[in-house]
Amino acid sequence: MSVLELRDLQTHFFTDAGVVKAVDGVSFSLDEGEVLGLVGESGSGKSVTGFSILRLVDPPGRVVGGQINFRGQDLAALPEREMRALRGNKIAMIFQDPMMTLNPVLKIETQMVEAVRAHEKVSHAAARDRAISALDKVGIPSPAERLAAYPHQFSGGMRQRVAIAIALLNGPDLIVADEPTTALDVTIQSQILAEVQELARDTGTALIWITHDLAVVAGLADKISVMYAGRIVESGPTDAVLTAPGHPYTAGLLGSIPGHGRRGERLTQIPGMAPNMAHMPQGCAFGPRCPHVSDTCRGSAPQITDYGTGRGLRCHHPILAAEGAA
Amino acid sequence: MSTTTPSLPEAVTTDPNRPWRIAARVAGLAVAASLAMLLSGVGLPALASRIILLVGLIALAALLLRGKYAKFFSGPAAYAATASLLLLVVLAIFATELAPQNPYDLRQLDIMDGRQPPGSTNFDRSMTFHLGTDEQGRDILSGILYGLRVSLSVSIAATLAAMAIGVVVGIYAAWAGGRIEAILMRIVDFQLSFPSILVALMLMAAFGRGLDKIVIALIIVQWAYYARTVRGTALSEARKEYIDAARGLGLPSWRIIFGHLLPNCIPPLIVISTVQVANTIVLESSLSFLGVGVPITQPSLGLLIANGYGYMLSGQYWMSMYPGVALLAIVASINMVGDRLRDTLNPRLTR
Amino acid sequence: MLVYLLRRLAQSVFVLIAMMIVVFFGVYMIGNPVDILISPDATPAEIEETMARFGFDQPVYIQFLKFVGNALQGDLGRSFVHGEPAVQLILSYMPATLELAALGLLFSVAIGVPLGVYAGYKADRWQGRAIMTGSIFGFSLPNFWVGMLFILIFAVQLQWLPSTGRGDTVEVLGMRLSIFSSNGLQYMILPALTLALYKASLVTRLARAGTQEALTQDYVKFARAKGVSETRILFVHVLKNIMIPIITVLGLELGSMIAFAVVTETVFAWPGMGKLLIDSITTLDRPVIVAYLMLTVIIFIVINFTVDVIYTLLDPRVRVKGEAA
Repeated sequence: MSVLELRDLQTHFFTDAGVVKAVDGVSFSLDEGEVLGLVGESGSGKSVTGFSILRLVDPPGRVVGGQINFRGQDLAALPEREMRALRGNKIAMIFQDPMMTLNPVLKIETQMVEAVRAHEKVSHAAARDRAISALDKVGIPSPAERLAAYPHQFSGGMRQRVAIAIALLNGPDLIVADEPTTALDVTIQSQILAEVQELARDTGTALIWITHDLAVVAGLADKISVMYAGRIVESGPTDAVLTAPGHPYTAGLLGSIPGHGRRGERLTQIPGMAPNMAHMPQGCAFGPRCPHVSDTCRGSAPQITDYGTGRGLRCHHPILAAEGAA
Repeated sequence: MSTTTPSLPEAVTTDPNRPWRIAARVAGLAVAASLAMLLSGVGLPALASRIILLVGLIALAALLLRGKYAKFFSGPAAYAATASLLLLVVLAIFATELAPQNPYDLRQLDIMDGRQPPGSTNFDRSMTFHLGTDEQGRDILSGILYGLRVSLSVSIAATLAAMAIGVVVGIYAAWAGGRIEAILMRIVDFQLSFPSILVALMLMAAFGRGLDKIVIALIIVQWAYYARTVRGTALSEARKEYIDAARGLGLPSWRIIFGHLLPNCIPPLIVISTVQVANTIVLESSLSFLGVGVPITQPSLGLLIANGYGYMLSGQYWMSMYPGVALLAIVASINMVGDRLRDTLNPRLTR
Repeated sequence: MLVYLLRRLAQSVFVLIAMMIVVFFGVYMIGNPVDILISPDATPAEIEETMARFGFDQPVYIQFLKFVGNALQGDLGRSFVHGEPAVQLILSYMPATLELAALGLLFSVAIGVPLGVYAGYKADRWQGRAIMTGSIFGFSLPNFWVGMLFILIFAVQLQWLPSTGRGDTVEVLGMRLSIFSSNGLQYMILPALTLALYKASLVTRLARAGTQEALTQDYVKFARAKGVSETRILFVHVLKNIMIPIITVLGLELGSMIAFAVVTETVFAWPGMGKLLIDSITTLDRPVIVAYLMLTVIIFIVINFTVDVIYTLLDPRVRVKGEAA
């Protein structure tokens, strides 16, 4: 059964320079216990998509269209009161920079207990017990003592573990993780990755893992959606997308990762820069950077096309089709 | 300047801000000259020169906001404040012409007219006291107009002089660096650690009453504030590359300081000094209220309020109330205009 | 931490010495010290005695040391008007001023913090703008005029509260305080509110700026993501963060509260040291003026020092840096 289904999500930022369509018609769905890797460069709208699900987009940004169906309820139309009851309870979020997400002047205990008590009428002691077990679950040693500490007394990796523990506190159905390992050391990154994977599998929590790094989601995600300029350009099962990317952009992202079995091969990079979201190019947004660009691309923006087995592509000249024709 | 000057300074002096600077200098001179005449006892400048002063001030304000009107007039409050400030300044500049009576001329006052409520007339019905009279039979409306002039001129003079001293000290400290800077800034810190009202009170207790004395006291309590601000701006400017470039060209120090460093310190100073004029008016009126400010013969708004205070509890509110309203109006409109100026001119705050 | 405190202490002592020099040269060297320190109707014998006690016949540096010595023993001359030693006189007036300033500070926080936090929360709405415009009026209203207005409205027209003077006092720790008696408190409300108004505007602005900044921080967003209520976010997460700068500024402002009390006390005929100062200025009671000056300097130094210490204790981050240093 699907936990979350986004249908044509539109999140726009109304700035002085004009309307920026940070998220422009994003759709995907997620089943129980499923892990989705949402991949894209910075500014592609992947984080805004994450925040839109929790309705936490800061002004001047606003969800202006589409549906966010969570267990059959459209979050986009939900009153703020009921939305708040879901946040941190049924839908949790983990942020990018662990140094900034915990309030520097409040004890860990305060910040964890309030997360429990915001949703359940339990005693402070009961909430505290749950906080201890959550900290224990994410591998923080002597959690009872650590509760009395302030965030600055933890390292970055430890803080991110605390943030993950907070996300797990109320046993959510869905966790949105916004590049939670980007700010961490590589070793800690892989540890946390492994732990989160295990936790998600144990609890059956669906997970949206937002990242700019295809390598991170390779071992983690069941399926991948690649975003470019506010739109999903390719989606499909992880293995399929990684082994046979259909969109030139995905291919470009893959080509820039140093990986196994490609020793000696030259790393490629995508030429040019991500487009200015206030002044999008005519036609296909990726056109100006695309090696296969044609007049069709410049003339009209491609629509998403279903290629079966959960694969979707937004391209006039997908690599799959080219191979098939050859 | 000799012909060997490199061409860059010419390029710098013909920048688009040149008319702005010339206008600023002319208007500044007009303000300084008028204030000097008024406060040194020479007397009021002629009507014509005061009209020129008013026009100069408006032109200066218009040039300052050139191209930023939309930003400045962000809401009804901005319009109201600007209009009220303009009105009050006009009233102050042309107090002599507008006031029904010269409240400083004791011969025009009749003790028989003392403490008349608003709307009453004098003995031979030749004059109506729209806002009542004080205990000496002085028309409150005339007192307010003249008092407005005293309050405004004292605080503007003190603010300008303090700013000049502060700018010199601040830039010198930033330019000289090292021990001189450390010592000067210690003095500034030392002075700023005491509230201005206390320092001014002590100074006035030592000096005695007087227009010139209160101006001096107000200069002394303010200069350090400017020195600190200017030094901060000058230090951050001095670090920028164009100063290095100017030094590399072998320009003399004074030219770099006055041609490059100083102009860049001016925008924050305009904002600060606007608000500071309001603060100074409050400070002066407080001192006058406490009896250590302006002389009784030339009452400012604060002294008018103090004079009427004794009668307030017996219900003769107008002697204190109306000067107080005028004081509030001038201070609030200056503060509001200052607030808008900060939002308009301070690039750091613009999003 | 200890090193830091010692360094701050040394700075304070330096300021005190500097101030002594300023006062000494200001009061003693300009003009005839005899005129300043001795009553005009003193007998020649008294003049002789005081001259010898302060050593005016001696070289300047010895005079200065004597002045410092006397000052350290709390001897800054005798009031001409009251006949008491000036320092003792001021100390006996001090509790009234301190309790007024303390209540004023309390009022300014109680008024300013909620308004400021709300204005920061609704920064772009009319509520926020209205509060900010209101705070400009708070800045602009001269202290003495507000006091008069309060008297006119609440004492004369509505007759809710007494107009001037000080009510009953209770002796607490050897000081006569009126804050603990209900009658005394009634007399305090108007002057304390008057004193608080300017600071309340300041606190409003500080709290607004702090709130606006804090609301853009990730930890606020994270708290929202936890489902924490907006009220709790504002009054726990945001408030705890902005209280540190507010307390610092307010602590520093306690000194200026005492200074501004001069005006408020005059309006409300409140028998504090500010009123005493004004009375002394009018009656040219110079020893009291000198003593007031020296005592306020000491108060300021103590306040600055205490604020620094509290600040260090309040902010866990500063604490750690201090320990590491």
